[in-house]
Amino acid sequence: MGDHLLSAFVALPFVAALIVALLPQSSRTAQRFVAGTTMAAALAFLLGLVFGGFDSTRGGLQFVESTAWIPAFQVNWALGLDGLALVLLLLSALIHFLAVIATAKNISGSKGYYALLLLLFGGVNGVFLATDLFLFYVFWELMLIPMYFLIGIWGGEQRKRAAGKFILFTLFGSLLLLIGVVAVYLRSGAEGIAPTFDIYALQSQAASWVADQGGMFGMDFSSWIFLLFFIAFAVKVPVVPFHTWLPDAHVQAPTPISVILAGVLLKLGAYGMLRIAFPLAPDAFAEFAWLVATLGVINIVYGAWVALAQTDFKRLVAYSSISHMGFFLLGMAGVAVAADGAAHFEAGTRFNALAGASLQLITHGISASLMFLLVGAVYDRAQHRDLGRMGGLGRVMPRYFAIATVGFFSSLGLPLLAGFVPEALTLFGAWPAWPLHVAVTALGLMLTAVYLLQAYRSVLLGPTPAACAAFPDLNRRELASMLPLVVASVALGVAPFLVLDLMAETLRTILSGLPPDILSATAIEIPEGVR
Amino acid sequence: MNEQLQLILPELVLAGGLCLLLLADLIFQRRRVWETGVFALGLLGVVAYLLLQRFQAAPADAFGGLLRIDHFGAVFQFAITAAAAVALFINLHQFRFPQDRGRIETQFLFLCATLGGFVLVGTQHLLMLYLGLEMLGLCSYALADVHKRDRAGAEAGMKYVVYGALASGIMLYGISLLFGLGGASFQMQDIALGVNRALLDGQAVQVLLPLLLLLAGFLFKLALVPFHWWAPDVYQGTTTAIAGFFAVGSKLVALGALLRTLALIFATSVHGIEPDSALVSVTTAASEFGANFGFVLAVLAAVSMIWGNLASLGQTHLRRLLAYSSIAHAGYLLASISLLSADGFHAASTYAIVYGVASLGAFAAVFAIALRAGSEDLRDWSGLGWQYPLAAGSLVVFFASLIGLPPTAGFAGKWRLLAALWAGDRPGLALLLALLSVVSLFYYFRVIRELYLERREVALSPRVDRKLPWLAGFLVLACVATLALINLGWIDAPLRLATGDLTHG
Repeated sequence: MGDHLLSAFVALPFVAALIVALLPQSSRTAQRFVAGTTMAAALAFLLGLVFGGFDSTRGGLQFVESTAWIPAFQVNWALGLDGLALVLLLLSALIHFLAVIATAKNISGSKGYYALLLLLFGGVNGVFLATDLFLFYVFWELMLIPMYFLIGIWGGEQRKRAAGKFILFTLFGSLLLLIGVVAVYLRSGAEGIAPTFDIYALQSQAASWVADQGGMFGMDFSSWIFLLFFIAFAVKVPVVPFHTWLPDAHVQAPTPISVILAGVLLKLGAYGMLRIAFPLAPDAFAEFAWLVATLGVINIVYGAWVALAQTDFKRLVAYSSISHMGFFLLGMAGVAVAADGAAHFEAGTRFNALAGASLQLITHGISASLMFLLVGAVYDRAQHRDLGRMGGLGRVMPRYFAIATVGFFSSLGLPLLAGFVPEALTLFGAWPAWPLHVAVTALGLMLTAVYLLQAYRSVLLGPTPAACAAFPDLNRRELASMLPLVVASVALGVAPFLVLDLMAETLRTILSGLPPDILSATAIEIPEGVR
Repeated sequence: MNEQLQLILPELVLAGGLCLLLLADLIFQRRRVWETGVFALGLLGVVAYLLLQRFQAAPADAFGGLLRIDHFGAVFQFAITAAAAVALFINLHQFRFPQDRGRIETQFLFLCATLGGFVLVGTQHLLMLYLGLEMLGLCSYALADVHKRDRAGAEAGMKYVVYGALASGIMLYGISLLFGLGGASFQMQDIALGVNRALLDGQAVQVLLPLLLLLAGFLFKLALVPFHWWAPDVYQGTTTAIAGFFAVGSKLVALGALLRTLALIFATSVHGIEPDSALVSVTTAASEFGANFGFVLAVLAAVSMIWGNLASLGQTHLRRLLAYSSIAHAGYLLASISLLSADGFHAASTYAIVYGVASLGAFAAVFAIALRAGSEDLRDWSGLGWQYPLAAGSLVVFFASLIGLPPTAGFAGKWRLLAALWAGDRPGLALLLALLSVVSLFYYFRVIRELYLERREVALSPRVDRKLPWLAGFLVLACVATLALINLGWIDAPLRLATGDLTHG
């Protein structure tokens, strides 16, 4: 069992999806129970790893396993866990679990819904754990169809259009990814050496790609690889101008799916950049860092600017997601540029930038999920999301008021709440390399404060319209789905090291630009409780 | 002689079974359609078993080089046997249209076409190749026409015959020219020598013309531009079973024969070996010519891919949509063939198998849904996904495979194609293939969207209330195959060996 711990973990949701599919159509409670238990079990398993089993003082992969899968192309079923993946897996399991709780108990077609949700969960887990590019791609695409149906069947008025747009944009990105994977794979083979899909074996070859001048349009192979992978992942993050699918998908998706989309799926694009685009083409990344930094700032300012003009509550939160993901890009740019002129910068600066960018993924996952749950709660009561027709909910719904305050201010980046630390770290890290960009970001921060406070005022404060006066306060199910996020938000605001310590060594490994030392699964003592 | 007969045992059994089927028609006076159908299926099962024996034996020539018995041929013979079995099986399920189901002729024609396919892919002799093609073709014309119910069906049958006759006439002319080039021999090896000799003399045009003419027959069977016009009309005009057979069975054997012909004629570039060591200086001339010919094929492939995909976008009739998309898939196959390398041929045969499984499954699923919906028009299918979860769910899997989404076999197949194209220095074609996959997503997902995302306003009046447990079983099986084939392990190594021994021995 110890050797196949991660395989079992990846397989769990798929088995559960099969069980749900075999349950009778009418047994909604059982379906919900299976889905919820699976997510909870995954969460418990990961927490078990955190408290014992996972060694956070090592930057390499742990619990590694590798079995030949498709010998014809040297594809391996290769999984491995490091600090970054562990933290993101924790986030994903938590968000998926809360999404099940947030799902209405009487949802129509519940069997398909929970089965697809479990498939999605399995795909996400696979992406975070795969260390073989081919396997990574398979899991990456595996998420496509469940998400299409989840938006397209259970979504709002314009759901068909939104689902179609989502799948088109995503597939466009995936195909660039596929071409990048083909190119890297074929490049890695040489006379007498079989090509490989292993991400770290490829990484150790990456240095030789830079010298490969005279490629198409005079760009070296490394630059091509970077551009292919960067654009492919940029669609998912999403980076302006590839962002237009996001507001539509968010607005049309049902609340739990919006939560997963913002909380988990956007992080996958960022994870791909950290895990694949940066390690495979570090020099090209440095060369194009100006582009990454500029796009990051555009994301921050443009996202906030557009959010300012929204009257639809959910659309506003969607644009705020775009804005917040810009910090990730800015952080990455801070990491990359220092690679060529490392002498100018202290090592700590690059680490700050990378830590800020990575931490931003977690904290945005938490606060955006909370915001979407808050939007969903209002929508369930009012049946609309028009900010102009709301107000004074603070008086009517005191519990909602309390939770919303945490959500809004965490999103805003108030110190002692989750949003503050990563943004500050990112700005510190990026400042030496990109002072101008950071200065423009300040404008974005101002806009963020304006649109969030405006929305806060128009939802919670002021006179209560008659239509809103009879709204019941949050019920137990809603509280159960929101409170864990409130706790996480406060905890990470006060003690960000809880997460930072887990991934610090991994981030140092990524910064070093060298493939991690691979620890064999047997080298690690697995505590009794996990086994 | 006895040994020779032993070699062609599967063909003999098939021919014997055919005769019995004709007799049965006379004796039972068309009243025992179900029984004869089961007999025909059983016969195909026996043939498939005998074909498996062929994989154990060493390659051999039979009847003085008229037939070639080898693994490569057996792969495609097996494929057409399977396609014919599925088509027969679907045909037996046509409860609603007794006149469609109730003819022993249909069963006879399926088997006869299969025999033609056996000859087509199992020969290195151009005249036999032509005979096989015509046998397959004539049976197909009859099949396309046997169920004509309306003017459109009759028109489709007519179109098919006329186009087919034209293509095979052109092909025959090409064969006669090649006969001369090869020094009065129909053997492909002799023709390859003749071609090389002519190339050495700088007579590239004299070689190119007959080869292009020969290509016409294959383009017609594969439904490739510019010989594709028949496909949409014929697929729409006949029954689902027959359309499925055309789209998979006859396409795959034609592909096998094309691969064999090209591999023998372009042996220099495909295998990097001389067909005859005496002709050393031939290599450069031949490989230059091969590169040019490959470019012609690449252009044809690109046009087919683009045409097939773009034309699919506007289709609402399911079989018509599958017809146009099958033109696109044939284009993908030709793209990989255009490399004229062992790698390209291997990729093409792999993708052909993967495509065959998903496509047959798709036809079966379309049949199952259409039988209940009473229509093959997409617009009548709103919300049916909820009513027929198995058929519609299977259709999603097959379409995902045809688009090339993981974790289905189609992804592994497309991967093979892309890798071959990229490595074979045709990155443009690889890029085009990838882009067109996005286009194909549009029209395949339009069906899925109609099935699941639209709500049904008019209540359904199913034409058939009967459960179809056998068909359901088949769909499950095909889904499992489609998902399991992503490993490619079962077919990859055997196919590599099979394409490898195309010119050896």
